[in-house]
Amino acid sequence: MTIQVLLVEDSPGDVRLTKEAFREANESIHLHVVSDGLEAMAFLNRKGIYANAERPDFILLDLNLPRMDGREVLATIKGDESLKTIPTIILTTSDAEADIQKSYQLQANCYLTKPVQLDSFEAVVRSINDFWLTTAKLPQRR
Amino acid sequence: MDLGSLSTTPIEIDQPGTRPGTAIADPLANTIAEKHVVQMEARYLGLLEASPDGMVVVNPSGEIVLLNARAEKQFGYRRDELLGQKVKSIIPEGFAERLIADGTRTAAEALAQQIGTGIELYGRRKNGTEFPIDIMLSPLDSAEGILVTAAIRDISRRKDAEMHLALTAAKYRGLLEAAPDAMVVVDQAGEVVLLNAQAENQFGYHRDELIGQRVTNIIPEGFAERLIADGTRTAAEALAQQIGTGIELVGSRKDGSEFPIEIMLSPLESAEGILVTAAIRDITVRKDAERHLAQMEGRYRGLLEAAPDGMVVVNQHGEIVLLNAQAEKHFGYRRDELLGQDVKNIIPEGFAERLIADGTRTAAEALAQQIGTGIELVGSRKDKSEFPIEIMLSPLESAEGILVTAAIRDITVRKDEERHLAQMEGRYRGLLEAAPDGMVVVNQAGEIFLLNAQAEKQFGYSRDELIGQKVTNIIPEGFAERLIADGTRTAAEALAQQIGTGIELVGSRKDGSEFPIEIMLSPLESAEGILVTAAIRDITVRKDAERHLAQMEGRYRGLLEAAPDGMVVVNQRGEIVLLNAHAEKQFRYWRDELIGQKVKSIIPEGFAERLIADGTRTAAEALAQQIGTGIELTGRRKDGSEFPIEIMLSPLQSNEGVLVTAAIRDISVRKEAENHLGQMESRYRGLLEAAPDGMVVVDQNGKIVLLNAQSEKQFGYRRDELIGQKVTNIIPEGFAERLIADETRTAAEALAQQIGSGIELNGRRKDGSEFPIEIMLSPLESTEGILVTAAIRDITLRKKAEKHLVQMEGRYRGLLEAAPDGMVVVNQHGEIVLLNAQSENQFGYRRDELIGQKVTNIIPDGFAERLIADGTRTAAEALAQQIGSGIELTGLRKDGSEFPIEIMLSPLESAGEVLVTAAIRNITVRKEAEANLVQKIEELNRSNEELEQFAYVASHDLQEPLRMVASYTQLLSRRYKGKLDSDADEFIAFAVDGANRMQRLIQDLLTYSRVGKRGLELLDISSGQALQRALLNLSGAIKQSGALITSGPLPEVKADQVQLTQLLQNLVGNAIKYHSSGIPHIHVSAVRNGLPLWTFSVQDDGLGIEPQFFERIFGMFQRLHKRDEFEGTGMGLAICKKIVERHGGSISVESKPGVGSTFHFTLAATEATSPTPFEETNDDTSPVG
Repeated sequence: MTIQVLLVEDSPGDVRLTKEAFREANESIHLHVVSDGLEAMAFLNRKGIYANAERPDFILLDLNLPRMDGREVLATIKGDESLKTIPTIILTTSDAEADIQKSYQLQANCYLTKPVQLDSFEAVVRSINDFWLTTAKLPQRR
Repeated sequence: MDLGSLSTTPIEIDQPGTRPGTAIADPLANTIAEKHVVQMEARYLGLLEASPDGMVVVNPSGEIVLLNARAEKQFGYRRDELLGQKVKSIIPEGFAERLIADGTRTAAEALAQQIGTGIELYGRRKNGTEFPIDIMLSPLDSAEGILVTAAIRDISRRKDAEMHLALTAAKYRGLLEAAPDAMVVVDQAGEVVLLNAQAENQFGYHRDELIGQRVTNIIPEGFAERLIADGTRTAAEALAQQIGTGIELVGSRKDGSEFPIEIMLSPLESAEGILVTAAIRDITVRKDAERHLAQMEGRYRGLLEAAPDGMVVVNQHGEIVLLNAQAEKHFGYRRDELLGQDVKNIIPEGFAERLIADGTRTAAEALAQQIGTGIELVGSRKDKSEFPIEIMLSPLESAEGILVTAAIRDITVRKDEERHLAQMEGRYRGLLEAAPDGMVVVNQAGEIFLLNAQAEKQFGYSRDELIGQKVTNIIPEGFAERLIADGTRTAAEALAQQIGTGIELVGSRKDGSEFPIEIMLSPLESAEGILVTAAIRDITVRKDAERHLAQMEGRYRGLLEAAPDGMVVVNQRGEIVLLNAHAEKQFRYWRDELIGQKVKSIIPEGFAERLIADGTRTAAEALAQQIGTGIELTGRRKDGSEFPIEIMLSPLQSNEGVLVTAAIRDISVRKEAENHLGQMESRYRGLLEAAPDGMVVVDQNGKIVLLNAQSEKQFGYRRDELIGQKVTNIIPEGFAERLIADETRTAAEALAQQIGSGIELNGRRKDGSEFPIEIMLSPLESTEGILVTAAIRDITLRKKAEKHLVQMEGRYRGLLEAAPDGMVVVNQHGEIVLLNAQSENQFGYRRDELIGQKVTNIIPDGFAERLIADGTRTAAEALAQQIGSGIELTGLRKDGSEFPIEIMLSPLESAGEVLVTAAIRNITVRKEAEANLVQKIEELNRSNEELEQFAYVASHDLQEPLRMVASYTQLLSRRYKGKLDSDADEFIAFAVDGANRMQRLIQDLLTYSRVGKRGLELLDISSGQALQRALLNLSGAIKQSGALITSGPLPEVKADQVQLTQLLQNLVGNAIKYHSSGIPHIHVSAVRNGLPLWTFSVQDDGLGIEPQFFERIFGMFQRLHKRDEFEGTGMGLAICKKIVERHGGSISVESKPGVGSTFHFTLAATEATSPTPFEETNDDTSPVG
């Protein structure tokens, strides 16, 4: 069964890397990509071009996004009754304590820092897959 | 073979010619008969020839008609020489006659008479020699008539034998008759065949009454049986068994009486077969003797066995022949183990020797010498242990010679007792001699048995002059009598009555002089009966003392009774032993009511306690302390009423120890007076002593009569040193003069003039020093006249203060005026009391414009408040809080302008007021400078912040594109390696490498930038734990290099946890990275050199650094090695430096190229003074995870 993952990331390079890494890790993952916060919300609320979008099982969210910042997106998701059940993982370059604090305060399910090295990054993606998408039980889509 | 085997029947010999057994018959019969006869004849002839005997047949005429070969041989004739000859030629006599028919009988009858009997005759040989023969006749019927066959036996040998036998029989019979023993010969049938006279005597029979009788007649049992041949043995064997042994049996006399016999059997071969010769001995006597002996022996053995002593009988060879059970026990042997053994086995020495028959004496003599004496020797038991024995020897004659009986007594116990006794005796004698008293032991007869040296001395005798003498010689009376057993009591009872009591008697010396003695008797049991030991003490001195005492006692009693005071003598237990009449009166008791009572009954407290010997002192010491002092106590009368007494104690040595004599004086009256006086006096004194000023009372002569403690203190005298002295001693001038009554006025007037005014004078102390005083005088009427009371006040301080004040005032005014700062003195009300010129300048006022004004006029805020005494603190406290600190305030000039001031406060006590001196400094310039500085700092901080911000942002934002470059070039490399050409690979490799390095640089820059502001607060953390974390982070590098990292104890420091970890991680990482060959050894330690700083050291044995680079390496991007030698960004140490400096410390390096480097850095210590221990870490034990 395919797992629907929403990736909210503005750097195309990072998008590609993430895609590659997930493909390596787990072929049954379908990665949807949006590049800013507004698009993310549109996707989740199935608005506009995303009217037929699949409800994701899992969200990977960068913090530093144009237009609508990742923190806002997080807050919105976790404030929405129907959306808050979706496990939302912050995947960002920042390792600042303030960012970490804020994210968990906004009820992020997990906070991950993108490693600088490629293989480390791939390892992180693998571990996301191993834990969140394989071991952990995700709530069923409703 | 005798002729009986031939079948011949005797027929009448008268009918000659009749052939035996035949009758004439018919011819046929004759032929058969003839054949038969011929046959018979032949047989007969054969037999004849074969016969062992000589056979001669003789006809009635006596002529030989037939003979055999044997006969030929016997007689030495040839047959034909004899046939037809008269038989008389060969048997001269005896034969023929026997055959003659004579008138009395026929030849047949004659023959018949001979038939069957062996007739002994003589045969005559041819040569004429004769030899005895035995013929057996038998008739033979023949035609010629009856022939006589004579079987002739040569019985020469038999005759010889018979003769020999007869000889020996005669000999034997001789012996037999002569034998002392009865001899009885018995045949196989058990019949007596022979016996001798002795046997006749023994058994009381005639010989012929016994011969042929069964031997059982005389020996009922035991003999015959022994001889019987039965199924098991032959008579010979039976006999053989008895031979040689004396067999005891019982003989039976003719009269039926029995007697014991001993028979010795021996065989005797005879014609009758084996006979048994029994030599019979009447052993009655022996038996009796034996019985007696047995009895004796039994008795003897019984005695022997029962003997309490061991009994051993030894023969002349020294061998034990007998011993009893006791001996067995003594020596631990069984009888059979000792019998026959040398007595030396049990008595090694001393016994055998005594018995030896030697050149000088025989064994008997040797023994004789020992007989009767008890000899002490040593016995040796089977187990080899030895024990003392006493042997008594006595001889014992026996068949074996003289035996020695030794009665052996085990004297172990006795020896022990003797030893013990000797010991005791020794001890006793020792005691006796050592005794301080004379010791005399007397026996029941009153004779001196024993005495010691002391007794010798006492009585002036030598020991041997007294031993055996009557004790009355030295103790004429009193001793002997006490010991005499008389009709009423035994000596023992007599003695018992004396035991334990010291009896005073009189001793009589050798020189006749007498002296008093005291004897103590005690009994002494001894072998000689009860002895009496008397310990004699010369009590001359004591007696004298007693006499003296009695004398003194008499004298004393007299004194006692005459004394004006009550006298009570108390013993150590506090009991009254003596009192006089006066004491009786005082306490209203009769004497006998008090003697023996506790002194507490009359003097409840104070007396007994003073005499009590307690842990700290003896009664004597206790008493000594009281002697001589009159002690005031309370006496209690019989009726319970109490009255004051004064007692004087004195000791009295007596037999009972130290007694205390108390002279008791009733001091009731005195006490009342004293009380009253005391009351008054105390009241007065109270006042005096309580006075804060010194009080001195002076009489009209100017002498001090009274003074109080205060004045003692003031003048440094003790009261007693001043009382009676002239007051001028303490107040040299000004006092006495004032009091003198002179011509102008009376003392009273003089005094009156002084009253009320405080007069300043000088006081002089004991040490001569003077001090200012102020005196106030007042009169005091007394019995001694008018006294003057002077209240003296030491006004030293006041004077000093005044002086000081003046001084200070002057000085102060000087300082004040000279001070560069404005000086303002303010009182507690906040009013300016003083100020200097400078403050006039500062504030633009004239002095008089400010003095008395509130200080708030010039310092509107901040000053007055600080001085206010309010509910929470006093002005002093308020002030105290301000002292020392420079307080920044604002000053207000007269023209209204303000300026910044800094005031320093200090208190000033004066005349009871606390004043505040404020040094006021115009800090305008400083303030400006400060403002400049602050501004500069702010600018600097801002720019720093901007810089850091910039660095942060730059690094952060640079990361992103860099990640792209690095990641994608890596992907390229991964996915297309080998797919493109080698150049492409190389190009990609360089690109990847560059990107990676860029990343690391940016990472380090980011770290560097974060060190300053974005760090954590400095807290107390464990540097040990920081090191652990750093090592954890370095675990890969540690494993790879095999580095051994150790550390000393590391302290708690004030630091940023993350940064300290980073610092240590960089330093240790460097040490690992820049290693020389082999395993890197790295040691982290911390020392504290007294200051609140820890100096850490990270020491390695790596490559080392050249001194010219020591500074440079801490700069940014500084590297000492090429990229291909060591990788690195060159930021590591710069980061370390920044971290250390942020913590307020400093970092440095020591190094020697090729040896190693040590990096030092300092950190602030926490309150904890000692480092917390941190485990040594090395590669193997650094925790992972």
